[in-house]
Amino acid sequence: MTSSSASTHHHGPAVGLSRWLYTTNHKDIGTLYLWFSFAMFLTGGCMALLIRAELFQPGLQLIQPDFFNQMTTMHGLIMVFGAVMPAFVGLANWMIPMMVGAPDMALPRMNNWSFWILPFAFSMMLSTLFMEGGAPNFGWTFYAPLSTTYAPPSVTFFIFAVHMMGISSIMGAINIIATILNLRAPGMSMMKLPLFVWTWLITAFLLIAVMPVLAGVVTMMLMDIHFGTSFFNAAGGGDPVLFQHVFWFFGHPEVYIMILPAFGIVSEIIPTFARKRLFGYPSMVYATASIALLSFIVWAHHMFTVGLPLVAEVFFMFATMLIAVPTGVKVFNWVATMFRGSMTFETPMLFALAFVVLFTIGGFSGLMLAIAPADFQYHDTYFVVAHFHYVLVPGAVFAIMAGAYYWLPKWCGNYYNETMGKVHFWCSFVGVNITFFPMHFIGLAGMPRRIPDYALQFADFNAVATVGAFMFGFSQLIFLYNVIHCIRKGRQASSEVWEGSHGLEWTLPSPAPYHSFSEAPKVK
Amino acid sequence: MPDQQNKLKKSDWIKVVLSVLAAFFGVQSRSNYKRDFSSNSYWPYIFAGLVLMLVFIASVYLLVRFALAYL
Amino acid sequence: MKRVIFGLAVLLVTASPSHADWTMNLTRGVTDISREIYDLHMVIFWICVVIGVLVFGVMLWSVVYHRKSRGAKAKNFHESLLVEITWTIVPFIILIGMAVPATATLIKMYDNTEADIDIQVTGYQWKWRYQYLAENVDFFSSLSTPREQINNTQEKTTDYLLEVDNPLVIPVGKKVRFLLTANDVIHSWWVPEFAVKKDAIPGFINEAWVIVDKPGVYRGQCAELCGKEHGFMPIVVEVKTVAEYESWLAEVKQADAKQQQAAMKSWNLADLMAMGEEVYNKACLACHQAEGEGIPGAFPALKNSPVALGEVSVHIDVVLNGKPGTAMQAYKEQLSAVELAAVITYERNAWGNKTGDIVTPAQIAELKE
Repeated sequence: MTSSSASTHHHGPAVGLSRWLYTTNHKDIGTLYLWFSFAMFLTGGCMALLIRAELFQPGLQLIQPDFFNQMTTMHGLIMVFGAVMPAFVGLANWMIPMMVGAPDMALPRMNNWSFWILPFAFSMMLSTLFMEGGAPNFGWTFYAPLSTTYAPPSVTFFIFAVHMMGISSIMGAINIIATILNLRAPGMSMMKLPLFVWTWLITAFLLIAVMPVLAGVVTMMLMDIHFGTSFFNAAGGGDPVLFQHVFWFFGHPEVYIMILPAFGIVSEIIPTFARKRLFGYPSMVYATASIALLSFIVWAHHMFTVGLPLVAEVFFMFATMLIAVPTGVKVFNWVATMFRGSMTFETPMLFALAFVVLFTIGGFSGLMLAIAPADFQYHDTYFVVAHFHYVLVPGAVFAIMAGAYYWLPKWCGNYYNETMGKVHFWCSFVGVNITFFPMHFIGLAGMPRRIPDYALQFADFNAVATVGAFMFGFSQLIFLYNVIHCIRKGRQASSEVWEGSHGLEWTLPSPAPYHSFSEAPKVK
Repeated sequence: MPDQQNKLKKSDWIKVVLSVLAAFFGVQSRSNYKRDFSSNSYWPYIFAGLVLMLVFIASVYLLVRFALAYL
Repeated sequence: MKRVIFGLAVLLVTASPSHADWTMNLTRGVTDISREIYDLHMVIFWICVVIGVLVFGVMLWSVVYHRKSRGAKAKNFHESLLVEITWTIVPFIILIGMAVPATATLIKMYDNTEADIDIQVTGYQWKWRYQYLAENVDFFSSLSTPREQINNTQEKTTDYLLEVDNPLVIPVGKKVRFLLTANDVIHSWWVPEFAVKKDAIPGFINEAWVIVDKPGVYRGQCAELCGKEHGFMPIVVEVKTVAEYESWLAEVKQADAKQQQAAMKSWNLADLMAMGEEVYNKACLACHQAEGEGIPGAFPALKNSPVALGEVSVHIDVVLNGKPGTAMQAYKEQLSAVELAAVITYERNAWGNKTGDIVTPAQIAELKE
């Protein structure tokens, strides 16, 4: 990339390591986020495969129960905070300035900082695996008092790491809000924003609202562990259930933080490949906002068995069931967008279609879980594991992959290899379903989650799930190869990239120049 | 701009409330949302949204009380 | 490898519900509540299936017929107030239809009044304690599957991981109320056939109840992650006729009396060591490990430890009263005087801890008073 000699302000990236360390460029930082999250995805994935390998047969074969618990905990934390969230922030960094016609993020130096906190936070968290007493072993939900009085000493490092992740997320969210509200090109009114931008705007508000709650709850843990308080210790006048209330007040909006940007990505992709405008754009925006608001009043549906009073039980059941309405609206809108379109099925579209179907299946099991009396049977079983993996893996992760394939030609100027992309899709699609569908059955049959060994009647479906997990896991290497191949060489992409693409990002050349929209574009 | 709020007439407030309710419901006619998004200030909408959220929570709670009393 | 092929092959036939070994659905259970819950589960399941067929059907139709390769031209509609209002209101009505019976069932589940029998259930890491409040019957119930089966050196039996030494016994047809609490961390007491799952929370008491219509043996597991051996603390409930239940109660009380007498007899080192090893394997091994080596950073070693080699009274105190703020529980209530004496003697003389000390059951019995 040669810089224009006419302007001293327009320069390309620095060379070498310092480019990545000191960068304030939204594209560089987006790239860093995406590679970081992919590395974490593989790390957490290896842990998942270890878990599945141990569960292949009844009996203890590979790992002992305590290490098994460390693996389930680290797998959950890494996938939630290390893989899914940073991937969405990475996509936001790359795409939001280009979509709203801004030259960069509003706060570029803070952007650099919010990324560079993450590798340190996760190094610290992973280092607990090598500490005496082992890594955190109390599940990613870290219920007290298992995570306080009965926790390994490494819990303090875990708390510090969570604080750092929280700071990173909050700064990222502030940056995204500031960019969307202040840096839109002239004529880019709110109701013209692409849906990805809208969903991220709402997600960013959710992040700012709930990350401090997470920070609060881990600080309370820290006080209980080291400073003699008794927030969660009944013997000192505290209440272990208080932990769960505070945690899930963060945790439930967190669930939507991980899915709303996915809605946005899919709402970009489906219209492009159906060659038809998104059906019901305003209701998509409203539905996203409704989901976000409702997400604050449903947290106790994770706690139906802790002995809530009947009134609370019914209240949270009703509120939770209500969420099905706006979520349903989204699915109907996507289907209506496809209806009477002119569809083609490139890899991003395949992932988006799989997202719609499989996320909806996850939504169905979510609806079943909302029925409080039935939840007494489902709670803490593999049925729940099946449910949240359906919304997170073929939900959030498939949407991220769809987004990566969709925008990859814009990022590096070359098309990825379509055949390889399709192979990756089909392997992932089949693998995901073989892994997680049988979990519905073993959960209903009565297998609790988070156990390293199980009774004989669960053996067959567990074996099947393990086979699927390895298939899904290893097919991600195809993705890795395809991305590297695409960066290095590949068919040159036009600026529109896709036949049906619409929006400001597609008016830029491919690859998008290091500095784009230095002069604001005009939006009609 | 908070001073904009003072200028809102009663009939405008009704429109704001109806728009927020439509947003809760998720469906709004094109003409109405064009009008809403061309208004000068978003504060009335945010204010109405927060108040109606509290009203919504209270009404779900009353519904629960009602259900427990009559089921 | 065989298992992989088998797994894949069977996956193809999972769609047929006739395959008996592949339990796929919720149990109907043996109580009115569990059957109501099963019905709710099936209703909501079929609602989801119908909605799924409709939505995915339209989607599949579009995927097949509205594809560019078939020459489909995109239409230009992108909103319709009527359609959008319809598909918001219809799910809403369906949900109301679901909420009514669900709330009714929930109200029944919360009716904890007028119980015939009260049993306090206490979760410990990693066993359950059952106290029959009106009967002065109190015992612990822990996993009885041998370690050899878990470590794959022995063939696994039918009830692998779902068997205990002392099952809970309740009579058929009576309303039994459980008062659930925990000693250390949160546990969750779950028997699928009763549709009872309630968290046992330290410092708080939760209530649940059951009326079982059919005698039998019902098995469940702890459902809330409670530490290392979370997967190894099953629940077994034997439901007996009222007469059988009464005679079981009498037997248990007799056995208790006998045990107290045993403490008065004199014991020699060899007998105590033999019994101590048995008790150790059941109660202590999970944390302190087979050779007393512990797990560094989590559970201290007993081999060459200052407690096991030091003052006897300190050792006895730790075992009887536990160490507050750590995973070390108080075993005073959990084990009999003979068992406690045996296991302390064992810890002071096994794995090269050669103190030669003998702790007598009489000594412990005195402390237990």
